[in-house]
Amino acid sequence: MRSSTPRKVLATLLVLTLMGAVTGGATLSALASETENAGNTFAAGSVAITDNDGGPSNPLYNLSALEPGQGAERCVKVTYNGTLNGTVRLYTDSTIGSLGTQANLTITPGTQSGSPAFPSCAGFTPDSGGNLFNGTLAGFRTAHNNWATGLADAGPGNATSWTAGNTVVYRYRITVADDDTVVNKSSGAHRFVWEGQNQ
Amino acid sequence: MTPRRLLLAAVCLIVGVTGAGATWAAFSSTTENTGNSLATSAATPAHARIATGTYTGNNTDNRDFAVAFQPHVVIIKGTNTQTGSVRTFTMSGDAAKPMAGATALTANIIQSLTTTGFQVGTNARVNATGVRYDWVAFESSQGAMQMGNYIGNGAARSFTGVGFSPEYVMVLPEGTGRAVSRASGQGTSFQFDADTGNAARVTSLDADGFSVGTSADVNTSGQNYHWIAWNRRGGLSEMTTYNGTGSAGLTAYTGFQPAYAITRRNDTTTASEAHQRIDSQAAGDSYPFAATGALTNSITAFNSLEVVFGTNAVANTNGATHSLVAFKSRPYPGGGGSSCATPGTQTVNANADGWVDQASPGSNAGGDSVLKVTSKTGNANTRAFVRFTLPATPAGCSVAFAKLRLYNKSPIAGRTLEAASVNAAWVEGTINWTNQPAVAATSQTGVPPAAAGFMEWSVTNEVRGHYTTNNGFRISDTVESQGSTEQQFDSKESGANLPQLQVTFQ
Repeated sequence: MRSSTPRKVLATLLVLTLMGAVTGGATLSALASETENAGNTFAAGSVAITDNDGGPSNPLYNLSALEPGQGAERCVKVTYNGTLNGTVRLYTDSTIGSLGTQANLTITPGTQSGSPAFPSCAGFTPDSGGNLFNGTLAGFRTAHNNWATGLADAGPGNATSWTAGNTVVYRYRITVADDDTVVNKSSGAHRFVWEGQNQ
Repeated sequence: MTPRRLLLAAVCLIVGVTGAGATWAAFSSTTENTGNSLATSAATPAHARIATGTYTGNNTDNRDFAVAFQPHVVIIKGTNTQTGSVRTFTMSGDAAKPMAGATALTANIIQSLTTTGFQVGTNARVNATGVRYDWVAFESSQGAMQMGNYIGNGAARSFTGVGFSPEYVMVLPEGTGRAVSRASGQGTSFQFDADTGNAARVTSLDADGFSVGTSADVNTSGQNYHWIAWNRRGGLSEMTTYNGTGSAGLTAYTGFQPAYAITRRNDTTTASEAHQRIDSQAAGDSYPFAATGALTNSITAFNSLEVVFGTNAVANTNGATHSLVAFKSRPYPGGGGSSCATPGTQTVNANADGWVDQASPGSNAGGDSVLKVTSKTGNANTRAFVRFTLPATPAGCSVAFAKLRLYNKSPIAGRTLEAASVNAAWVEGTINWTNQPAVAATSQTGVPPAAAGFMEWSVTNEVRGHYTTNNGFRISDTVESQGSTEQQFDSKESGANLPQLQVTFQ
């Protein structure tokens, strides 16, 4: 019993510590908050990531009346700027419609010669590491839908981290299945997010 | 737990949380691409069936090869140093066009296109003993591939009624003019063997057809020219351009695994030729259309979504623009293509015919055993009329190609006859020069065979229209009131060689 008071004090201290920790965590999380405006950067001192799509009205693909087996090839350049070395992960948190399971998506990192306008893939050369993803659009959404599950790209040329000025061109090849059952389906609007965090 | 241990735990936790806080201090930034969407067509589209294959030559005449459908175009290239050859459904008799060189239609190459495939003769271009040959066969399809023929007039002109805006057109002269082509990414029209293009060949690809200039390759007066027009069909055919790098492994995206592709550098300064690869050819191989053997550094592979190129300057000159035409193999109906359950060709005989005589304008010749088509001075022209009961369109099918065939008993070289849809109804037993109906403004032309035989007109668009209003065809000389050139055709009353209409459904 004599120890009950000190124990309560310590227990209280422990709770306060935990609360402080949580509060501190929340504060730290605020430093890592995201922006969803395409092309905008959130350079909280040391990390910034941008792309060349020119804004939210310029999707990689907006394909209608696709016939079985039809698809498109599009490229987007992602640039990393910041004083800290970082990691970049790719994900989509959008709802994917019924066509998602019959839309094959291949994402290949690489480089691009010249300065072709978005979303041209002219002059694209894939990195030696091959595809970053090859599966269905729905499968991508299931597997990679937030930072924690995001598809990590180690950096340009199979590097181990992204450093200031690094760029990677991502080639998207999206093709609907060559099958009668794809007709009259859609995927709905969806976004792809590249998120960079310092290492 | 003792107070001391609790205190220690709290301190540790504080330290730990602080440490974790340092780890959590991940600065973050995002960028995103929004608004991506996909939607498929509301119904399955029609498509042109394509098949490829290979065989070994044995110099045996009249060899038949099976294709899963009635081909309307067949291209063959051997591994020997012989030119590639092409035959279209519009070519009559034993004749095919060497695709390189100044060579007229030639016998014993691709002798015929049949309902079940094609037949080759003994020409070394297609059947030398022990030589490997590869072929690609196309089926005409509304909206995907069309073909026809026209008679040159020496003046720049346009052709319409193709039914789509072509992305690729071949023109194949029956005479010694060069086989030529034009793709949508090209600023001029090239032959298949080396040249720098010619602006007076296929001068443009238009909204519903194409235009030709005055080059002898496309428009010598009185000469018969065969044409093939292809449309880009997503997932099935691709007509695009790509930039060369000069490095092996360059790829061009097609969106499907091609079965057949043609490439060439779009160079109007330095002569370049076209190269082709058929997927049945040996791995890594491709071929010119010219009399040359295999190349191993031009079109080197077909991958699942792309064509791969080597370092050959024709296919991959650093900094140069190249054109690519690629087709996916699709030998079967349905499965993402047409919903036509029973594709094929049906032939019907005329159910009404007759001829009218300007010199005897009130006379009726509906019961005659011949049909007379004459260009003659002194108001003495004659014209033939013929009508068919159209075959029922199979469920889910459309007219892919149609050919009018009349047996010319007395062909006259140098004349051009046209077949035009008739605008109003007529009766076999009463039609005469005076009451003959007018015809459509557009017509299809044909030239008489060298000897007695069936004369043919490509009448695809006309027959499509006849499924709405069917008044048959009028056959007349394109230049009437000239000389005295009577040609007689067997009528439905002749008992043999009846007027025919062949309709291919797909």
